[in-house]
Amino acid sequence: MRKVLAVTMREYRAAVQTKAFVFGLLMVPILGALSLAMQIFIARSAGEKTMTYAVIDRTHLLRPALDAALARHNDVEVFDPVTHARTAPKFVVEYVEPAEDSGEQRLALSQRHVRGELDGFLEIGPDVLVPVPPGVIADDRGSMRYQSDKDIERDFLRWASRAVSAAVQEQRLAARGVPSEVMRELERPVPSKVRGSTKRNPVTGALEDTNEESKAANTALPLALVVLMLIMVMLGAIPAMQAVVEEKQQRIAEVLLGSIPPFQLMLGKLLSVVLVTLTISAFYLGGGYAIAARFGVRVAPVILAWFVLFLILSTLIYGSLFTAIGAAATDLKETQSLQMPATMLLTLPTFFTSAILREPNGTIATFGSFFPFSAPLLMTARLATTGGVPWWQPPLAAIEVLLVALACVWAAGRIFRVGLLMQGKGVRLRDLARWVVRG
Amino acid sequence: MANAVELVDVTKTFGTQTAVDALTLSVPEGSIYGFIGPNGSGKTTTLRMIMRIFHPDRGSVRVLGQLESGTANDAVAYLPEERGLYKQMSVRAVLEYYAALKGLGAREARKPIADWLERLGLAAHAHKRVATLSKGMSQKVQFIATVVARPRLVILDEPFSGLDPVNAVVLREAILELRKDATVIFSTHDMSAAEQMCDAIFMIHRGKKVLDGSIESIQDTYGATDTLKVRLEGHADLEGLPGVATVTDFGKAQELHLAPDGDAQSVLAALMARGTVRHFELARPSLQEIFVRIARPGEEHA
Repeated sequence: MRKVLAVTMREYRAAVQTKAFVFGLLMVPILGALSLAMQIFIARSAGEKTMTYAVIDRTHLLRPALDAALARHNDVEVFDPVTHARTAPKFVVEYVEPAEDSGEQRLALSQRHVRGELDGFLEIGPDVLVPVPPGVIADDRGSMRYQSDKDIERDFLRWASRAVSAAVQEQRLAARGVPSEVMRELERPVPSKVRGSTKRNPVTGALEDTNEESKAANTALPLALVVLMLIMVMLGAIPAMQAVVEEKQQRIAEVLLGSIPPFQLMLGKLLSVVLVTLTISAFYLGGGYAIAARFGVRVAPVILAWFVLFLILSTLIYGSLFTAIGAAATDLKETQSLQMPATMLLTLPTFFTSAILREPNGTIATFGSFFPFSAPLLMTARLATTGGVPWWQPPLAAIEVLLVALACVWAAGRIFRVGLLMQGKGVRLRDLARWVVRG
Repeated sequence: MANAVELVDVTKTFGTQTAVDALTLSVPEGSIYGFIGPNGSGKTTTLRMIMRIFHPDRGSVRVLGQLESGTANDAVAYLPEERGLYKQMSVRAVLEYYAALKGLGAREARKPIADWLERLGLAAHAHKRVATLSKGMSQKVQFIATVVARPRLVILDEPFSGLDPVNAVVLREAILELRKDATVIFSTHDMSAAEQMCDAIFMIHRGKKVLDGSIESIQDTYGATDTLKVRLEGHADLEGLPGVATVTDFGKAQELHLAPDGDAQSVLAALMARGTVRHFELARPSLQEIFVRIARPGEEHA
């Protein structure tokens, strides 16, 4: 056991002292900060823009209402209510007199659009005030038509749909003698609240449900946990694999095996991988918890506990698989083809995340969180959803994953023993399977 | 005296290639045993079988009295032919690690490591990374890593490769001192080192044992005094001398192997006719000469 620990301590020091480790550790927060900064920058620059549109109002009735809506947009709606920063483009609207030949007019406006003078144009049909009966598809006269090649810029279209519909409604109601103040009062929407299911707090006995903010956070949390665990396992397992390849190439393996049995050597390495991932998780979880708390999101400690437990189990599975692959390969290039299946298993859970968010206790989510190679990530993700998971599922999955992890360690040990002294021979996956069976 | 290593009828093949063929060998405890042989003759394979890195296809390998044991044996230490050190670790750290793997605690290992570093002139390099060392220095570090935990059997594969003469002497003395409480097996291409250091020499050629015994007994087998050591002034052509079977040219000096019917006096006369003779000595063949006689390509000797 002393020898196993000696291996663990050396491997751990070697792993955390590399530039790759430090880089990997910093990469996630740096990339996160960069993408956040990028989004803010894009939002800012969108906010600073002013866009010009032409509007042809063939009803000749809607301009006052549209002008009012435009003023509201440019003076109020483009500003963030909290930060008062501009977050959306202002609109300039140029009213164009309707021409007889609508086709030619569209062509002329389109040419101005192509030249960059206009960001698009809107044509309101002359008959939009007449409601279209249900089931009838309106023609150009009874609808509004928006033309632009800027497919991504939908802000104006969204605004125009709302503004024109409201203006038309006002006209229709006025035609029937309903004053606009009354209409606005009648139109005022019913406020809505969204909550998760109500639970009784086992400590205080009070009834609790999750509010909207933490529900939003809870959509992000499962995703964040899956990505975090994935990165941690990779940061731990892949350098371990590379270290084994180095030992093989430098003939260190021969010296090591003269001193310590192969299984103990691998066990020492595996423990170091677990320590490495726990080190990373201490950084990330600590930092993540602090950031989440700053935004008022409390991650339940029980979820963190499950996260750490499943992280350890996942590390045992993938640490042993990758270590075995390192032992079987003769150089780093060879590891790439050998590690493909293991990497696929490792990244498999990312395909399940949307299913988990949509239906945390659905068939797909439940299956994924019990499939041993994806269970650690997916069970943690399910635990982090608002709905929660039946109490017996996480422990059952943990026991199952533990058994599979032990089987992986055992099989990897056999591959390790044979592979470590094998030199200068390309190995295929079939060979690995043979080593496991025959030893 | 008991044998530290006992191989009985050991055969090892790789694919269709027989690396070691029906080898029987006994290495007595406390001896220094030299393994010689041309490249690819089966030396390293034999050493690895003693290390239990390879298992023989046939025959038995008994190490320190044990017939079956795992690779890991704290009493046996191995210095591989190629460097087996972590490049990114410091000299001291790598030595402490290897000592720990041989069951030596950090505190117990501190003094022997310091002593060995001092002795091999590496004390000033203890904190340097292995990657920054010269080939000779890392070879010495590797040697310390091998012997620091006082093994009872030390197996050294080419311990002198990459060492300058001064360091080779330092290492040679260190190896000779190991015999106080260990058996030493080493393979080498340095015939004079083998001749001077070893109690017994084992030579393997094409997987078969061709020499085994003390240097005297080997020389006795290979012709008592059938060798002429000569040195001529300038460069003389020694081809076609009467009564000479083979010529081993060392450059400045030559070793002539007399044919069975050869006569030293007539060779001397012939030499004097060809140039000025500076040195002429009737001697037993050197190990180098014997090695060359056996391993010369295309020639088969018993």
